[in-house]
Amino acid sequence: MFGEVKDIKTGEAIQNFDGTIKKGIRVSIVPDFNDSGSPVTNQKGEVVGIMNYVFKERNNVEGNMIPINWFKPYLDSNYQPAAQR
Amino acid sequence: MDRRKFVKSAGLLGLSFGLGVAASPIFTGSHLEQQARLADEEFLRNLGRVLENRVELITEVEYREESKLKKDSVSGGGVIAGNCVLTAEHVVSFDMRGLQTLYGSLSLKDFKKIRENTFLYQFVLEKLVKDRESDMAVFRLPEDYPKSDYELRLADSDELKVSDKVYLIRERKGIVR
Repeated sequence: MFGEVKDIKTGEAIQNFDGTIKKGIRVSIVPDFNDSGSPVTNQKGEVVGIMNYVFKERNNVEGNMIPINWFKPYLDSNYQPAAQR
Repeated sequence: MDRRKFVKSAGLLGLSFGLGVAASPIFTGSHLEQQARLADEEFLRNLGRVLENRVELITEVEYREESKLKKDSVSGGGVIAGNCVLTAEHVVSFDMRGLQTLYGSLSLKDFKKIRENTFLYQFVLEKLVKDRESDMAVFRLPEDYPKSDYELRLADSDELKVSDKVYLIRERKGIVR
C-alpha cells in the first residue's frame, strides 16, 4: 500500500479527533486496525517509520507514523553502521 | 576567418558536441532504464528484508477488575531491527477503555494490571521502552532467538520531505513461519 508524506510534526504536537495529542509524520496512507506497528518504507525500501494511528482532522483522514530515528538510540550500537550505509 | 566561415564552424562544432552528448551513455534512454532497474532491484531487495523481519506480537495480560482476577491478550505487528523489536506502544499494551479527558483516560471501573508479557512466537521479550506519549515500544530479543541473515535497512527519517513516496508493509496474511 503506498502514499506520500503529507506533513511532518516531529517537534510540534497535534490534537487528534479523540482528544489525544500526537506527534509524528502524517502520510496519505489510511491504516486499518491491523496496521499499527507495521513498518513504512521509502522508495529505496528502507524503513522510515512505524505506522501507529489514523489521524482525522475535519474532512481529512490520514495516517500517522513514528519516525524511525526516534527508535535508533535504543538499537544495539553495532547494528547502526550496518543500517546506515 | 570571415564571419560566414566562423558561424559555419561554430555551428558544426555545436552540432558535433550535441550529438556526442546525446550518444554518451549518461544521457541515453538505456542508461536511464538501467538506473530505474537498479533502483527497483534495490527496492525489492530491501522490501524482502522488511518482509523477512516483520513479525506479529502477542501480549498477554493478567489484571484485577472489581476484585476479580481476569486474563486477556492483544496482538499486533512489529519489526525486528538487530536484536530489538520495534512497534507502537498501544499495540503491546492492554488498557481498560475509559473516557478520554483532557487529562488522559479515565477508567470507569477499578482496574489494576498485575502482569503483562509480550511474546514473539514462544519467546518472551524483554521490555526496553514503552512510552505512551510518543507511542514507541522497543523490546530486546532473547539470545536464543534465531537471527535472520537479512538485516533491515533503516533510512534517516529526518531527511523525509512532504510529497515523498512511502510504502506501508502490511501483515502477511496466511503465511505462517
